[in-house]
Amino acid sequence: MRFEVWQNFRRSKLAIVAVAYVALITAVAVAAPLLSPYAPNEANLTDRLQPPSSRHLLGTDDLGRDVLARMIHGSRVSLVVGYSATVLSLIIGSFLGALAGYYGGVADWIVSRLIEIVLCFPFLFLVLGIVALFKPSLYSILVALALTSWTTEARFVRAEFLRIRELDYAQAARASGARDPRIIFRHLLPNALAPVIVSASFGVASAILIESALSFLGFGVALPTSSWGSILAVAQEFVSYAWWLVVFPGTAIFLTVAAFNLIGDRLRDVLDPRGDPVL
Amino acid sequence: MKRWVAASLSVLAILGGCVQRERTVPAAVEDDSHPRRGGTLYRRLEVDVVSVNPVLATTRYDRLVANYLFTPLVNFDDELRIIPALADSWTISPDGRDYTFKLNENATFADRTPVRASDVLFTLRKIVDPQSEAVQIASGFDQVDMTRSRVVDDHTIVIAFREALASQLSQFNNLLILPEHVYARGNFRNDYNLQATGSGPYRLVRRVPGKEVVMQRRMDYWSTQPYVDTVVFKVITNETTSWNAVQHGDVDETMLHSDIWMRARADASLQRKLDFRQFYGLSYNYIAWNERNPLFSDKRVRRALSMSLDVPSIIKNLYGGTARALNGHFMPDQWAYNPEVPVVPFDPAGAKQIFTSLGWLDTNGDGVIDKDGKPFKFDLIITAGSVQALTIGQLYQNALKGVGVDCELAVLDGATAIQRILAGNYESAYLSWDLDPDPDPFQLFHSSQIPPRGQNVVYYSNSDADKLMEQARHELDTGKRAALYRRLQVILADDQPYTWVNQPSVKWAVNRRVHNVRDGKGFGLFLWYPGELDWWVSSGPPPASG
Amino acid sequence: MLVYVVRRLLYALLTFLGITVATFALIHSVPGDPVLFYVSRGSLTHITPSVLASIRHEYYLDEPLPRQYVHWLGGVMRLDFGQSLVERQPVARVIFEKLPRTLLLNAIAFVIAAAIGIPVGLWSAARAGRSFDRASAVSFFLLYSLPTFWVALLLMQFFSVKLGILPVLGLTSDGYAEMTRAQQLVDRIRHLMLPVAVLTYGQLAIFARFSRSAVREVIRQDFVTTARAKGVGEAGVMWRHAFRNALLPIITLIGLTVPYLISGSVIVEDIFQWDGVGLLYFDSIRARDYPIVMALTVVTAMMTLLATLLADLLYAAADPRVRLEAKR
Repeated sequence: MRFEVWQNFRRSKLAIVAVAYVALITAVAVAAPLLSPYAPNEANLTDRLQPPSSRHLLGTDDLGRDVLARMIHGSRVSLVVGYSATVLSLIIGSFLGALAGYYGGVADWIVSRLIEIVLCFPFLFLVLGIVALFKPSLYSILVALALTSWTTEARFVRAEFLRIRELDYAQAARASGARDPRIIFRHLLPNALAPVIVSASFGVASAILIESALSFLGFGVALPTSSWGSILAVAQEFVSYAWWLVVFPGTAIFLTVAAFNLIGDRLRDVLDPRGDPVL
Repeated sequence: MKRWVAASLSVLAILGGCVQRERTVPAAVEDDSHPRRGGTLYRRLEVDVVSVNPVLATTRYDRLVANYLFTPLVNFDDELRIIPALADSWTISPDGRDYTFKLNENATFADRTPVRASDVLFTLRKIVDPQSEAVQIASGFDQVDMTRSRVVDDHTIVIAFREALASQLSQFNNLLILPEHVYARGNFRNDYNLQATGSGPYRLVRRVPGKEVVMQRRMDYWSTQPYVDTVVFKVITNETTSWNAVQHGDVDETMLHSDIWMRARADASLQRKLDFRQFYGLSYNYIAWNERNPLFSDKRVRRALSMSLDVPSIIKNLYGGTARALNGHFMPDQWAYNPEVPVVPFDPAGAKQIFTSLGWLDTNGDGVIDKDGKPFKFDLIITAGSVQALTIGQLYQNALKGVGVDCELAVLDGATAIQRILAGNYESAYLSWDLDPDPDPFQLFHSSQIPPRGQNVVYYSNSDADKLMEQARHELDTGKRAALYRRLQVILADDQPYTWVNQPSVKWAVNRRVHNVRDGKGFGLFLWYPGELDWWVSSGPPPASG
Repeated sequence: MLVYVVRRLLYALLTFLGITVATFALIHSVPGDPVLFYVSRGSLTHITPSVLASIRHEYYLDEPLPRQYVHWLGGVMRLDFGQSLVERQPVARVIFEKLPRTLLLNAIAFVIAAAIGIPVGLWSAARAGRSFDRASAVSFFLLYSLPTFWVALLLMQFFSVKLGILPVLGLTSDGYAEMTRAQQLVDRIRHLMLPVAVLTYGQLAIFARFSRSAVREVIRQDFVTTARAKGVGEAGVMWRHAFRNALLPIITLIGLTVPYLISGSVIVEDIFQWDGVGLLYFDSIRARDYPIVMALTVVTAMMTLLATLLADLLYAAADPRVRLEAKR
């Protein structure tokens, strides 16, 4: 089964390229201190706003810091936010979705209302509110993203549970006296996994996009930690003469988001051909 | 962070005569060599006005607009001298508490009714009434004695105070007169934010909140007519956008930050279109140390922290030399300035020595100095939106790391930052002052002026400094007052309640189709008289609109 | 059916209350005092405490939170959203002045995206697996992955600053009022171009992918297979059966996107200084202008609720199984 999925998956060359890119950028993030040509926070005012050269491959920013070094370290922020926010929302979403789908009744009613409430919130407001409530930091962004993006997963898991809990093997498991958690984790959840994996891949893409937008708006990670969005935020001030501050981090965000979206799209084709288009 | 640009100067400058200038304007002007009447001036408004009701004004931006629509009792000229405006002349009682103003008898409001002394009294009453929310202007009149203030005749009024303050006359520059027969009707707080009736040279055509304020020259204006027919203020908050707009010709003037200004000035084609101006206003950047925090209660610690900031490099590399290092609160353009006080040098080794001598050592080898088991660690609040502040904050953070101090930057939005600072709920903050022309620092450094009473946000308290400030604000002789402030400068420099970062020049780009843009001391391009009321625009085609 | 509708309405009301309570709690727990900010405008000015107290009292801000909420809710019942702390005008007036601008901007972007995206999606479904399908999917996904704020920055820099052929910002030019009708139209279009472009490209993928999968879903169903078996040509199957039956989910999607017409353009409005409710929303959050934030949240939440409600009812009407479940 798994082998088949992979066989299917790799028929798309673009998806393979995307996976390779994700692997590469993840490796870069992990090995950032080894790869980085300079310390990311090393300021040198006499070198500020230098265009790309052999000394600074991607130029320097307004404090004279090496843009390449800051982008390499910035990949950590993007990926940590992307992965962790998705994992968090997977946990919250699957748990609540399973609860609602398995037990139905009051549990379902409460979870459904909760989903509706979160969905009706203007997203940006909720995120800005949560970030403002805490100090702007990696953690507050994570919390904000996790609290707002679990609904997709919850809906999938709930729908899937509603569908399969009446099926034979679930009934059989219940009849044989298995306890609820066991039925949920051993029998039902694995079956609901396909659409969840697909939505997780899109989730990483959108979390990275949102983190960069928040950093761009000045609500991102605490300085001097660099993130792609925060380099762009500074670039905004120098856009007319420091093109390298605009072009490189923007391209990095675009490529990374695109890679996760393409992987998600391919996964959907392979894993869950009937699935809802989740965007 | 800006403080209301109020006004004031020495009491000696009071006696200036009526400066009514006559202009002769050629009937038909086609070239740019003579002033031209007519045309439209497009100005940028960084922050939308709160209201066009000048009593409710809270920021300097409100005043930019109000200055066209209303007239104050007195004005400042380009040398910061107080000159007549709506008041033709005035006298001050020997005890310095009562001011008698004679109003210009020709003065009329935009609805053609004459300006009367009763309108002045009405405006004053509105200012001191807490129901009016005259938050800003009221502080300049908190000593006013309404029971003794009175109308003498249609054009004469006595305004009395409980206490004689040296800075009082300058506050009358903020007294922009409202017509009682208009503003006494309806809800004062809510009904006059979009419409205005004043005695200024322009009348309000419309105010669209968040977008623009449009004003038309009054043909029946009672004093010197300005040149420009229509003045449009466009609200453009974003600085990049505004820079694009001024290059595009959408607005005629904008303030710029140093980087853009310095690069653009070097560009010949931009030079042909835009006039790049700079001047030193009465504003500076500083780092506030909350002295209620045990970390910062010792002035030697504060000195060491000041010594860790590389001011010369910041001025040279970040501002291209267009900023000054400061030796304390008073700036070189002020008569209160004391040139003999030395600037704190950049000396990280010296700072390290001070820390060591006070027992701050890195005992656990984590790179951060500590004492009694507590590391030297604090948050520096930076208000979101200022790239310059972020840059300096990060440089300082780097430098402090070198002396073993762990500084974390807390970038907060304005609403949160202001609340925390005024509540004393902070450790340190990167801030700026925009000061009144009168140098009285009582509200900033006197021990009685901790928030919410005053703006002593650092909780500075020094009895010698207190005495000097009390004496100086009641000293009506400018020479003696200056001597007191020079002594105060020495004490403040020694105590370092702030780390004075710098006084950057204020930088502007003005479209060359705007003529007669001159500098006034302390104020810069406008808000002194005649200032912006003397500008005129070329007869050429209007700027490319977009 | 009636029972179902009533029940759904009751749920919607509950959700609505939940949203308002959550918003109210959230905005009041975010640090930052709106009155202080209003009077100081972000500067450390001398502030008379009695004035602060007077404004707080005027806005009920000196009362305990639950009572403030009740005040607010009572106002909403009477369709009174209160006064804006910053603008000092009735909230409804401020919002209704700006709402049309945001609707215009978003509606144009929406229509363009649908007009391109849906046909491409339908065509892709018919050509599933072929090069057109793959090429359109990949290019739309790439567009979808472009950060809007970055694209806005680049477009603005290129078209408005470098080339100088499009206006930098705003709704209209100066002197708009003096233009002829035709000039006004041209001027409006020129101002709309960049923000619309930025809002449109990301939505293409949504419309295309959704309509594609809606059609594919229909194709898989029995009656299409039957039609095929009966010898109906491929084109006939597509037009007569697949596309027509895919219409309902597509219309539903359009319905569900309606609330997005209000809240979708916050960042774009901020960058282009498009003076609509998106910019207002952002500014109000920064200034802690509670009444405006509450009102805008309520309006968007109501629209979302109505849209989902309508979509559900539509489905219930179309699908007997849902109706049956509703009866149970």
